Amino acid sequence: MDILKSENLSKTYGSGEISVDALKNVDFTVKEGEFVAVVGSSGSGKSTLLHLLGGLDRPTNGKVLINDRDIYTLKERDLSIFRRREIGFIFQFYNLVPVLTAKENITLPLLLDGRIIDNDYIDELLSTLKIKDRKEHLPSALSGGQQQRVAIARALATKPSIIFADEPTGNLDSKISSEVLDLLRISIKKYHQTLVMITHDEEVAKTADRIVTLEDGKIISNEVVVK
Amino acid sequence: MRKYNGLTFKYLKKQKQRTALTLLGIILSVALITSIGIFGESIKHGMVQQVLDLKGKYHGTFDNLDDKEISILKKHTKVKNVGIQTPLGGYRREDSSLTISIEGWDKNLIDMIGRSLLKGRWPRDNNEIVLERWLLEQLEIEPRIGNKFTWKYDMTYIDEEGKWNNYESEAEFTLVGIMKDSPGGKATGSSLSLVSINTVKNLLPKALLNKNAFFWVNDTYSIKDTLDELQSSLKIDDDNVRVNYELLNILGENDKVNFPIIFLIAIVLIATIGAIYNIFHISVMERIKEFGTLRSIGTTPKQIKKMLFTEGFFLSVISIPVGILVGFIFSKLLISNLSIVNNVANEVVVSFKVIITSSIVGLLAVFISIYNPARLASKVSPIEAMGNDSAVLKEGTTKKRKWHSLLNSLFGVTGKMAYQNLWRNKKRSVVTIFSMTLGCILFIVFSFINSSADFDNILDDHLHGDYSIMVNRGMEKYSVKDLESINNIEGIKEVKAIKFRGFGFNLMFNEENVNSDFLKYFKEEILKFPHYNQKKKNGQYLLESDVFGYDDKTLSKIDKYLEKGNIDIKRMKEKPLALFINSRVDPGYRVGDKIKFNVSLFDSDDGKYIRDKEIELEIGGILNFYPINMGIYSMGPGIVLHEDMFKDILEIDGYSRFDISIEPKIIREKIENKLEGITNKIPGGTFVDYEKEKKLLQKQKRQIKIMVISLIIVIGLIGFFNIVNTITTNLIIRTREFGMLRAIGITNKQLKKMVRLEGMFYGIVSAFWGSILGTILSFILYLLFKQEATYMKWNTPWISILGVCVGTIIVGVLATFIPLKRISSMNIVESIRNVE
Repeated sequence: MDILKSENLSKTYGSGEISVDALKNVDFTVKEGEFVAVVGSSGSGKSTLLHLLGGLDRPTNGKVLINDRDIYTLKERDLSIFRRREIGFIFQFYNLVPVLTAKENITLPLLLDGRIIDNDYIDELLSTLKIKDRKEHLPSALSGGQQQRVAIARALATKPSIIFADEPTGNLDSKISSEVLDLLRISIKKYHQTLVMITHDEEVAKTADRIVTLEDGKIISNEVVVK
Repeated sequence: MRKYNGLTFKYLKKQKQRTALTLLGIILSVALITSIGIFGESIKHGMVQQVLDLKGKYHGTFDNLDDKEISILKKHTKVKNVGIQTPLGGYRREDSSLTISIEGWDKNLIDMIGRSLLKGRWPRDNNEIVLERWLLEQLEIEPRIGNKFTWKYDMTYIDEEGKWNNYESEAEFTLVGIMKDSPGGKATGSSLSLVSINTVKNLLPKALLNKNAFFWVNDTYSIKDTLDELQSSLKIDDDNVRVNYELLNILGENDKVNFPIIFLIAIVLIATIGAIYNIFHISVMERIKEFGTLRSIGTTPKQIKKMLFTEGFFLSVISIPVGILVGFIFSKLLISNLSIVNNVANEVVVSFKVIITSSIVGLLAVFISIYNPARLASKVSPIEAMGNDSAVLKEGTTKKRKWHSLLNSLFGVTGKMAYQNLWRNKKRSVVTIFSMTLGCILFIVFSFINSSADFDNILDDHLHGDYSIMVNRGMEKYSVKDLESINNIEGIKEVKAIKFRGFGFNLMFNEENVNSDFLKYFKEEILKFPHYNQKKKNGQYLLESDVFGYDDKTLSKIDKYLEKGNIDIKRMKEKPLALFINSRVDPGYRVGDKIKFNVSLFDSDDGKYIRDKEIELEIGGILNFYPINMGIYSMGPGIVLHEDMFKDILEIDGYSRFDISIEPKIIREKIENKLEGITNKIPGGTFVDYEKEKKLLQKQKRQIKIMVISLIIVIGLIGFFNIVNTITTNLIIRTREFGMLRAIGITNKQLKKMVRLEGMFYGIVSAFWGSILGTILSFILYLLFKQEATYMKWNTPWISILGVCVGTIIVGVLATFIPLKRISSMNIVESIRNVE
């Protein structure tokens, strides 16, 4: 079943002569439980695609359907709520709230949603991501790898249908990177989640189920990884 | 960009909004200092003008100079002007209680004192005289130039053996001019008549001739130093030096330090520097990342400091002159539109001093403010600054769990985050709260000044209703019938009747029952007068005192003068219970002490002496001033009795003074005619109309209020800009964080709530500290001012506190509007990339 589908997705920055087409009529689907790696050179439109798929930006043209719902028909408020319930984000620079502890950061999307926190689930997440002993620490007291694991836990906290990761290990050294990625993979397998991840690292890409390559705002290859 | 410094200007140009806010902040702060300076100078100028008008343009006088000394004084380079006065003596007429002194003045002195003619000319030839207009009326002398009359005059002097003597003579004078009344002359019953110096020389024996020199020190020299220098070079005794203290006090040429004013200025300065500091601090914080970048490409800490100082200098060069101009326009608008007269300034005085001070303070404030942020910026580690998003400087979090759960239940997670955000960068928050707190403090302190100056009270202190009728000395009194007829005039609201005796009422004391200060004063200042030498009775010294008899109405209204004890009107009516007023030196009496007086009794009809009697009075209370007086004082203390007790002791039925209040909207002229009729029943009786003075005081009251309120508005504006500036920056810095929050699904509503709560918390915390500190400071100010301004009152300033709380919260929330609009309209992707 397709969990995510984009139709004719385009994004143009600026207008007139200085306009830049960051994304050109991209059609793209992701199946439930799939791990898709998006690769491409710098400026190829990877991040734009991810932002549009995740409902962070509005496309110039085209649609994004998540669970068959056209997310850009939603109002700003509903889109926000949709994001916090259905989508998880992991950024390169973690983007944790500095005044909140690790655990508070993880539960923030739930709190914003006014939901009761499933402590067992959160503890399990913390254990899975091996940050249980750091849960009361502030981000400033955590290492980069730990911060990213907190960010992963935050993305998983609401049990979203799909997770978008924008070079989640771009800021980490290779040893930590593989550790974090392993944990990410374990987590999404464990909780049956779908993952769309941008990466520069071919080795990382090869661990995905499928690799999509972008160039000049277009998908130039879409290959299933044979393991 | 040719030099790296060019970056500064590029930054200023790019961040237009921020630059504008910074400029505005400095402009307002400098404007505040300037306008306070201009107000101060203008008020001082007005007061100096008033003293000059009242007392004349002289810094001091040397008495008993010979011609040689006078010529030295006149030629002295440090002395600008010298005027000569030689007294001829006093003129008394039996049918009047007026004090008239006849003096020879030279033209210089007439100009310095500022007397002016209504008619005729100044005396030139022998026996020519110029009188004040009111005196001519009072003595019923025909106001015709050329009118001749004979006056007796007398002069008291110490002869070669050191004994007091009286010289008496008479002469025929020719009226050659009529001059304007001297201020207060009529009310106190004293008048000045002028003759030429030659007239005095001719009329007085040479030994009695006294020349006194009034002088004005050249503006470029210190008055006090010059005075001392002249005194020592001319070898003049201290006794013969009189300093125009009223003028010198206003000019600040005295040793007294004006703590309240210094305190007030200090608060304003701290607030101003605080505001400017805040602006720069946050402006640097905002650019920490940029500085990190610069550091990483090899900029030295020194270069970064230099860049920031260049920025500060550049901003100062623009904003300080504008600030001074704004301050000038502001004070000019206020002062000239209000045409504040008397006591307060009537023209705008802009001295170089004010401009220089404001510039220096502004510049200093900017540089002090830059110093610390510059140090911080230059210390930033490149990696730290670049790598981190907003938590560049170590951001700690205080763990106040108690608050958290409370806030959580009150405002939800957004409230909790808002509160925690407040403390994420302690330094920044402290600076923000500090500046808001200063705004609150200034507001409370100035509101206190505004409300504490209870002008009705001052009015009451100076005026005693609408009119007064007084008779000054001697046995003359207004009768009970006179009081009745005043009370019967239509439109009279209230009459306060005062009994008074200024002689024949002597305090009796031993050396043992007064303190040493008083004894010293008595022996040095009083015993030298001839008629005191013999005055001793039963081994006790006698000291002439003033005794008043107040009615119930008056007694019930003099609480504010009470220093110790109480005013028990009922007991005062029946028992010899008195209120004691220290006149010059406190003899050390306490409430409950019994003191003796020697009372001379006279026949109320023919004024003949009957006998002396001794009485004992118990001190029921001690007053710090004469609530109602007769304009002249004895050397001794004042005693206030109930009118009934006064009558029992002194056997006097009549009244010396009536203070009359009238109903509003009554035709004054009718009443005035009747009152004047009653006044004139007794020769020497004086009728005083307070209408003009009252109007003047009311006008002043309004004007001072407007002035203080305007200052409060400026202070409020500075505070507002400061807060908007700080909160805007605080939020803009965190754009990326807000982007992330939106990415993980915070709705705009939630975001707005969080940010507004943050603004509100700033307001609450600042209002809390501002209220406490403002209250304490206003109390300190009250303590400092109290001595000089007895009318001041202090209450916990609840209204100001309420105003501060509501104000800061509203301002705190309002301040979030602009940045919120910017943040929520910003594309999430852009926010996350944190492009500024």
